[in-house]
Amino acid sequence: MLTQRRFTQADLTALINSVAHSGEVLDTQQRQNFGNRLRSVPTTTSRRIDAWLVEQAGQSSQPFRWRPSTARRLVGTAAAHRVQREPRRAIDAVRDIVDEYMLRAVSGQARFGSLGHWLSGLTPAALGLVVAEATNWCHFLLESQAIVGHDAALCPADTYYNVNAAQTTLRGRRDMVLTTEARRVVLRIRQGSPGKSAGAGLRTDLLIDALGHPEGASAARFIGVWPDAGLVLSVDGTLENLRSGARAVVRAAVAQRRQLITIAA
Amino acid sequence: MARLRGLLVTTALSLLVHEQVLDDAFDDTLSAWSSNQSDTTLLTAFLTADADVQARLRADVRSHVSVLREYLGTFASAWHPQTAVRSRVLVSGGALELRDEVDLVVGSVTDSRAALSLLDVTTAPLGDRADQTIRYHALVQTLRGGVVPLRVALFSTATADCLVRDVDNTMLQRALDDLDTHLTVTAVAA
Repeated sequence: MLTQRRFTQADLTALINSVAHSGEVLDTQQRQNFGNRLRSVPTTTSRRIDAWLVEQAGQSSQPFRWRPSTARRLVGTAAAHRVQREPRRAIDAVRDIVDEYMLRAVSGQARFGSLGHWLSGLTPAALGLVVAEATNWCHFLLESQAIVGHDAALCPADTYYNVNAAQTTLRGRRDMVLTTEARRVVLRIRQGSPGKSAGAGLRTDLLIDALGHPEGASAARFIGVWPDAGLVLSVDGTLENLRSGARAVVRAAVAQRRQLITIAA
Repeated sequence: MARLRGLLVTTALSLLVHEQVLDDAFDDTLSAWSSNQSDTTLLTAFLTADADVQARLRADVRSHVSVLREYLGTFASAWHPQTAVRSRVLVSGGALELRDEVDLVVGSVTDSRAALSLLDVTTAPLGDRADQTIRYHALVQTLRGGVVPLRVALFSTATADCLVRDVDNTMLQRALDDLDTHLTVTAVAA
């Protein structure tokens, strides 16, 4: 079931506090079954599946390209962490991070196509827009955290899960986690407004989060926040939702394979 | 070209708010804006336009950005300045989507006192509908975050005029009336 609420402090607090169960645990057999399903969809190159691809029904639109708007989450989130560790201006934290990426590129530690490599080739004005976009994201994230409540911790990274022998990496987006007693509530912040497939995207992130957990424990509730729309959608960490997420991932892999075959033909 | 002018001035605002030094208001802004585009239609249109059109746009953008520089001032980080803030609020059970983009939002919705201020920048002179635009921004922001903003301003880089309005219930009620009128007119026209 998909629950919808307004993105206000009161509604969100009620949504978080109303979690009744502590989530499911994926055992080894369930992981193996899921891996087998993905291995049955062959691929000649490594593939990456995330909630976005699931929401696009496996049809990737344009190849990824670095732009200030695609770099903002990575740089802005790292800056938000620094601001929390050591109180300072968000823009200064963003500039430090951009400098570090560029230093890595200059010293030959960044591979071709990486963020550092791209940043090092930008004009000062374009670099300024990267700083502007990342600072916007940093403020956006910290503001969202303040609404959720300061018990919420920012996630240092997304969840990555490699499916054995399937050349498949699953990437689950997450921005904040709230741990209370034995329950874990994970939040993902998105710009824009939720589409019709937002529920499938949330279940995918719920599944990947559980697969990436050392003990396979799913979040009690996975909440998607769309501040632009003032909306919150959530799914519970039930076995039904985890299965639904797994089916959506396999479907996306099948659709992606069909698209590649069509292009090759 | 008018659309490109608006986009470049918005980009310049974003750069200035985030303390970026602009050596050349047009070239730097164009370079920054084009680095963020996946669709090059507008850029191609500019590059293939005749020299006269290009020169006019350059002069136009430089003039608007110089007004921004002169009047904008600086923003403390504690105000959480965010540029190009978009809203897409669904109302009437999803039957109606209210879209909006505010060029600059400062303040926080989590403050105990109303502290959110919105600034919209336009390259056109402020006309009769300026108040209506301000009311619409206030309404959408209220629906989006559930918090009534403190103040909304509309600034014209063409004339350096700034219209500032405090937000109250009367203003929000008038914004609803504006919306109702607009929907009625649209329905009749359809």
